[in-house]
Amino acid sequence: MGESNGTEQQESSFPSGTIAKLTCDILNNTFYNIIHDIVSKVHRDEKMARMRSAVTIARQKAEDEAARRREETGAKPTALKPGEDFEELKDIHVETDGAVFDEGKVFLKGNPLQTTKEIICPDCRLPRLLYPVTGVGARPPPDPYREYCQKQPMISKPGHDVHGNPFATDKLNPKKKKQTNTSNTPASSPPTTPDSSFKQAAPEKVSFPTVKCPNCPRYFVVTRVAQHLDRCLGLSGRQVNRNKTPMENGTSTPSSAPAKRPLDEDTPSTLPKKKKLGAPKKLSGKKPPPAPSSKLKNGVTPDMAAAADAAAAGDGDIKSETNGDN
Amino acid sequence: MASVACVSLLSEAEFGCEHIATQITQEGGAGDQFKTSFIKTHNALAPHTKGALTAQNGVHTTGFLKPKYMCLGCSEVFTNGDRKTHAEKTGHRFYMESRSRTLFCQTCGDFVYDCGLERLRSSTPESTLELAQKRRFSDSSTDELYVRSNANKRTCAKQGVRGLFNLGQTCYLNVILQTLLHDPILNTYFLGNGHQSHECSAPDCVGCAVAEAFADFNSSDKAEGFAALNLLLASWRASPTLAGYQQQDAHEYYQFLVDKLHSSTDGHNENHAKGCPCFFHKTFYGKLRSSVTCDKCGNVTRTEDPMVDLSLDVQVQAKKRAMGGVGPSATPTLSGCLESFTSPEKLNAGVYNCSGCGGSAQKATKQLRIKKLPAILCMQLKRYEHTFSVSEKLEGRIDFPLSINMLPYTTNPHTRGDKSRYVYDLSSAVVHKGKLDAGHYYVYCRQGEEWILFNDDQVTSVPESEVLSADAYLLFYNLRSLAAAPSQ
Repeated sequence: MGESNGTEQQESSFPSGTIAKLTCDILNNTFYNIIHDIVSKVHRDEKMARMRSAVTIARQKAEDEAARRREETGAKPTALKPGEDFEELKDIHVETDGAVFDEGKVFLKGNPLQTTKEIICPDCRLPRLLYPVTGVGARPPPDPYREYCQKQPMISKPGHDVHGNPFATDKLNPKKKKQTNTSNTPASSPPTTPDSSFKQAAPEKVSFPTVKCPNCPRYFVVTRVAQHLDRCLGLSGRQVNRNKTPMENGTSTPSSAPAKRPLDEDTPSTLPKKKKLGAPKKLSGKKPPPAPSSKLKNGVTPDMAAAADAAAAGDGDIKSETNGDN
Repeated sequence: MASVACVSLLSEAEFGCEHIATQITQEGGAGDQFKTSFIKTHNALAPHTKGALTAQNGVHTTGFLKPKYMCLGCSEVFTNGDRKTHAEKTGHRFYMESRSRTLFCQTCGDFVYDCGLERLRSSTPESTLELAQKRRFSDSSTDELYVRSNANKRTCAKQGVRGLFNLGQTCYLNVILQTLLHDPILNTYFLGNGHQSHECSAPDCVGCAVAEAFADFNSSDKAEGFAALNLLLASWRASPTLAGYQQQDAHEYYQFLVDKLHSSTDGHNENHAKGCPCFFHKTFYGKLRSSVTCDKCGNVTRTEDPMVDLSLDVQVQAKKRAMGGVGPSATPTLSGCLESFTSPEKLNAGVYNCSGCGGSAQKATKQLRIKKLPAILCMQLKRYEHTFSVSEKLEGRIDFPLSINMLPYTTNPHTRGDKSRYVYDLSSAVVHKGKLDAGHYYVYCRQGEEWILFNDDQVTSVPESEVLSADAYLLFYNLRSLAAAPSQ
């Protein structure tokens, strides 16, 4: 802050209280400057945004005008890509409240802070929301039936990210998530339906997605895939035992794959179809099939028998995306 | 990503206000004259150039620190109140405000922002109008229309603000990748098809995997996280030490990634000593000069080594503080670390053999200085102390600034001239929580003007103060002005 120009060059006989006055002046001016800088930054941001809005509106109007003229002259009324109609815009002159469009250029008219009231996104030409729709400082959109630009202020809400989506959770402990939800909205609604008060259609709970292992055809919950990949690539023999999930620690009968199928009990009918498209060649011995006991438990339905047959006939290690959370 | 010119010419007005328009479009060179005086005033008001603002018109008596307005017509300086009377008297309508150097139009009674004039600002002090008018940027909106009709448009949704899923102990990878994803230079490179994945034949190419992440972050408006699976696979395949389901050091991973990106580019030179013309070399690699001075004969031996980052010792600072050297309450600072990094250091006898003294072992002084600064400067605060028996992590805050001038730590600390070539802005800060051998990384990245905390797939907005009070482990600084980059 300190550029104390040319105050100390006076003669040394200062009247009393000079230092006090000087200090006071410096302080006052410094505070003035701090506020000045903040205000001037806000002013700049706002005025630039309004300027761009004014220009965007004028350009939009000019393009509409160009499209209208095209229709009048009987040309094909399809909306041309921006760029192709540049020549056509040359001889168009339109005026809006805040700007003049003339010969392909836009000139401001008056002060955009006065002439333009709305912030328009220069890219999608939709109005911008100025406040987040949920979370801290939220305000409902001015016109709920209008389409707004996707670029919105960052949302700040506990347990949610900047987009307003809840954090992904592990499928395994859904209870924990529910508790945090209720604690976030203590007074708004009965604890049974904690999220009903939010207008936004954000999903109540997001679980981690599954991804396909890049090395083998199996699917895994995203948080476990590194662990799998480690084994899949055969990187650390030493750690294999420790890292195995209990299910895979079961009997390690090598290669005979069909035993795995019965786990897909909820979608037995789709299995034969899947078999046909699937049929990946890789049959990795490192992924021992789960214990055959589960097969006995479920019993063998005709579908499964077919699946087993098919698997035995082909070299069938089937993608096991349905039980991806191991 | 937001910092990559998201302003499009199509949405800019030709002039900041009607009055500028008439001024510039005047016949007979008046427009050029106006531009020249704009540059002149702009340079005269540059910080650190004293003299232009010395006492005039009794300005110093009232509000000597307050913003002043310099008339573009006659270079006189006024306070806010005097400006109006001057305008009435002389008819000079344009003034530049001394603090932020914005243009004030007296007729509008408001600050005006003119995109054409703003561009003149980036020209170097000595350059004249002709130089500034060389098309450093595309000046016409026709070019932009062309680009727009031939390129994919980014969606308006919060660009690039996406988390990265933790694939299982991969937060070390996530923090580094997230940092790179927020770098404007790398965005320009990868989105400009710098790494041509389609023609890349290298198996498990790290460059391709990173390019994929850049493409995914910028093309779709997905808000959920991204699983950097291919990068993980490529990294594991490329480096046996990184491979495996275990925690890694983010700093080591950064060095690995930079090295692999460098070797994935066309026309790179593996031998860093010879210098390399490739993009990644220019972006990531600086040069560190180590000079050893013999205490006996004064012979100086200099070696220059490429550097990817600065590893700063925080222990020295911490110990000094413990002994009350720098004051009991002072927290260690980044600049303090840099100072001790570049200060002379006594070498014990027997470590250094002086060629000037016939190859005998001598006491000597060693000093490190930065010879060349990279565009992306990574600084590691060495929080880990390894002694013979124990390794421990030093917790606690180390103050770091939002922007830093690196000039004092270079080989030429007293260079006069444009200091802005050495100014770096903080772009991201990686924090490690937990113990030495097990813990968690998360990263604060700057997105435009805002700071965002990326904790794997959890993305939240944070205030600047939270970033500055974080216990950073890695700090990434970006060169503020590429145009003025030192070209040594």
